[in-house]
Amino acid sequence: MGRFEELQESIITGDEDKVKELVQSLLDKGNSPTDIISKGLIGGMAVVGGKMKAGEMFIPEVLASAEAMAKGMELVKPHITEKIAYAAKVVMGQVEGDVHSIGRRFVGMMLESGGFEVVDIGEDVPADKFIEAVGREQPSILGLSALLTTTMPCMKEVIEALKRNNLKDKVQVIVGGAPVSQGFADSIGADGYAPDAISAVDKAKQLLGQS
Amino acid sequence: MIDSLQLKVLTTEQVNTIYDKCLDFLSSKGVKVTHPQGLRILDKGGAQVDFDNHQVRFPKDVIETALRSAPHGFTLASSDGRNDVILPHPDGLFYRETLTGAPEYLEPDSDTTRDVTLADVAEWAQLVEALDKISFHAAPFPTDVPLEMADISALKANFENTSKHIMVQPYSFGSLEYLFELAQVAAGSREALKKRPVIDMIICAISPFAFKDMDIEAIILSAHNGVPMLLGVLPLVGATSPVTIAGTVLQLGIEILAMLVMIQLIEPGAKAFGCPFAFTLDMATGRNLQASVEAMMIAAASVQFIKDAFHIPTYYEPGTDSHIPDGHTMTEKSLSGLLISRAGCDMLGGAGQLDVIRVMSPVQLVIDNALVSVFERLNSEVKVDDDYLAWQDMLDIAPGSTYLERRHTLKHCREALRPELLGTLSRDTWISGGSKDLYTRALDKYQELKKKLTPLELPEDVQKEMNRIEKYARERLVK
Repeated sequence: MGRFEELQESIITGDEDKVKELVQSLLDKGNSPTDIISKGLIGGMAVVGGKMKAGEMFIPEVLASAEAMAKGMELVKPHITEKIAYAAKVVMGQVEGDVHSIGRRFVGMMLESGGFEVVDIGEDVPADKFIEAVGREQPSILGLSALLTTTMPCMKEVIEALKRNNLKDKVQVIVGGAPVSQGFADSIGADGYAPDAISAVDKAKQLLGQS
Repeated sequence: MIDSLQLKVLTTEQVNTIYDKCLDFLSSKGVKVTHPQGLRILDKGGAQVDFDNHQVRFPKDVIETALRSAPHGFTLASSDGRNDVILPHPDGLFYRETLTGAPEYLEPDSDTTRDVTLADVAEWAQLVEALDKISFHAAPFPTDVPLEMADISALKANFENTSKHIMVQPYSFGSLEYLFELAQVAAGSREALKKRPVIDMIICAISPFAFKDMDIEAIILSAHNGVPMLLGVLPLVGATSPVTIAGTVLQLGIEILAMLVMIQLIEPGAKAFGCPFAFTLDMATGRNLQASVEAMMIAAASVQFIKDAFHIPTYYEPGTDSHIPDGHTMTEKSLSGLLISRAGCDMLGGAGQLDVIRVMSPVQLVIDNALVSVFERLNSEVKVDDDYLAWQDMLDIAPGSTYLERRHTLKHCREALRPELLGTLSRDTWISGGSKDLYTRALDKYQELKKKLTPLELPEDVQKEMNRIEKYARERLVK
C-alpha cells in the first residue's frame, strides 16, 4: 500500500497518531502539501463520506475520522506556500437564541472534508452579525442552523437582513436543524435545505454547480 | 401506581448506587448557573457558589434537606374544579396530557402537514375539553403570531377554550411576567393562583449540567407564585448525555435533583415533578428518536428512579418517531405507554403527537384518548377473592357445560373493557360498514366531535383583562 493510501486508511479508521506520523513522513520526503491534503486527507474523508451515506459508518466514527484529518491538516498548513484551492467558502452559525452546536460542528467538519473552507461564527448569532460576517468573508454559502422551534423564525430574519443589505443575491443560504423542513426553507426564501451533514455537502455542491 | 404492580427496571441496589452518584456529583462538581439573583439566593440557601465561574455545588446535607421539603403530592387545578389533576392519582393510576410545542399540523384527511396556527391552538384546546380521558393540556406552537407572542397568545387561547389545567412552555425571558399575569386572571387573583394553580411551568436544563437565565427566572417566579414546576431534562443520548442507558439515567437524575434542590432553596415546599425525557441519537443517520427501544428503557428506569429516590411525581411523553398515524405509530405508542405507565409514571403526555413532537394530529389525539382506558386497565389489579375466583361456580358447574347462563357471569359480564375505536366487529359486519381502518374510525369520531366544539364563555371582565394583557405584551415585546 502506498503512503497516500495508508494515510487514507488511517483517516478512515480515525487513527490520529498514525495520521500525524504519516503526514510528517510525507512532508519529510518532500511530498507537496497540497498533494498530502487532496490525495491523503481529503481523499480519506471522501471515502468516509461515502461510507456514512451508505450507513456503514456511524457519526462518532466519522467524527473520529474528521478529528484525525484536522490533526493532519494542522501539520500540513504551515508548509503550504500556494493558496489552497477550496471548493468554496462557507460561513455558518447558529441563529439568535440558539446555543446548540453539535450538529452544526459536524456539518462544518463534513464540509471541510468535502473541500470547503468553513468559517464558523458560533452560537446565538444575531442577524446583524451574520450580515457582518457575510460582508467580511464574502462566502459563496451561508449556513444557518436552528435546533429549536422557537429559534427557527430567526432564520427568516437573517434572510430578510441579507435582502435589506443587498447581499441576498451574492450568497446562497442553506438551512438545517432538527425542526427545520424543506417546506419551512421554501417559505422563508432559503436557497437550500439539508436534513443531515452528508446532504449538506451535496446540497452545497449542487447549489454551486459543482455536482 | 399500585406498588405491587410497579415495574422495577432497576434493583434497589442500582437505585441506591445512582442516588449516591447524584449526591457525589452535585457536591463535588455541581452545575452551571449564570442568573445573578439565582446565584445569590442559592448562596444564601447553603449552596457553594463560585460566582466567577458560575458553578454551583450542593453539599449533601443541603440536598437531603431539600428532598425532605419537596412535596410528594399536590394538585394541578382546573379552572372549574371538574378536572383537577391530583398527584399522586388517588386510584394508583395516571393522567393523560397532550403534546407540547409541535409546530406542524397534520391535516385530518390527508398526509400533508402545514404550519400550526393560533386557530389550531384554539380548536385543539376545545378538542381537549371534549375528550374525557385527556386530563390536562399544553399548547402547540402557533407560527402565525409574532415570535415574541407565541407563548402568550397560545396561553390566552387555551384559557379561552378549555377549563382543564394548562402546562406552560415559556419561550422567552420577556414573556414570563405576562404568562403569570394571564394565569392570575384565569385563577381570579394572585392568591387564588397560589391556592389552586391552573398552570404549571416547564423548566428545562441545558444538558449537560447547565441552566439558562430564563429557566432560573421561571423557577423564581413560579416558586413565589405557588405554580408547580415540571423539571424537564431532554438530553440527546450520545451527544448531550452519555451514550449508555445507565449513564443517561444518572445524568437525568443529577439534573432533575439539581433543579429540585434549587427550587427548595428558593422557596421551601415549592411543588415540582420530574420529567426525564431523553431522546436517542441514531448514530447512523443523526436523527433524534423519541421512541427508540433505548429511549423507552431510559424512561422506565428514570421514572422508577425518581419515584424511589426523590419521591416526587413524574411526567413523560410516550410518543412515536413515525411521520404518520400508522402501525409504526401504534406499535411505539402502545409499547412506551404501557411500559412507562407500568413503571409508575404519574402523568403521560404526548397525546396527539407524531414525528418526534414535530407534528400534531387531531385524529391521533382521538386515538390516544381511546388508548388511555387500555393502559388504565392493564395497570389495574387482578382481584382475587372467592367471588372473582368463581370458586362456588366451579364447584357447582357440570363438567363440559357452560358458564354463560350463570348468575356469576351475569353479575360480571359488563366489567371487561370494550375499548373505543378498537374492533369487536365480525369481519362481515366490518366489511358492510365500509372496511374502516383505525385511522378512519378515529377520523369519523373527530369529525363528529368537531361539529360540537365551542369556545368557553369567559366572564366579560376576565376576557377583557386577558385581551388587555395580550395587547400590552405585544406593544412591549414585539420589535
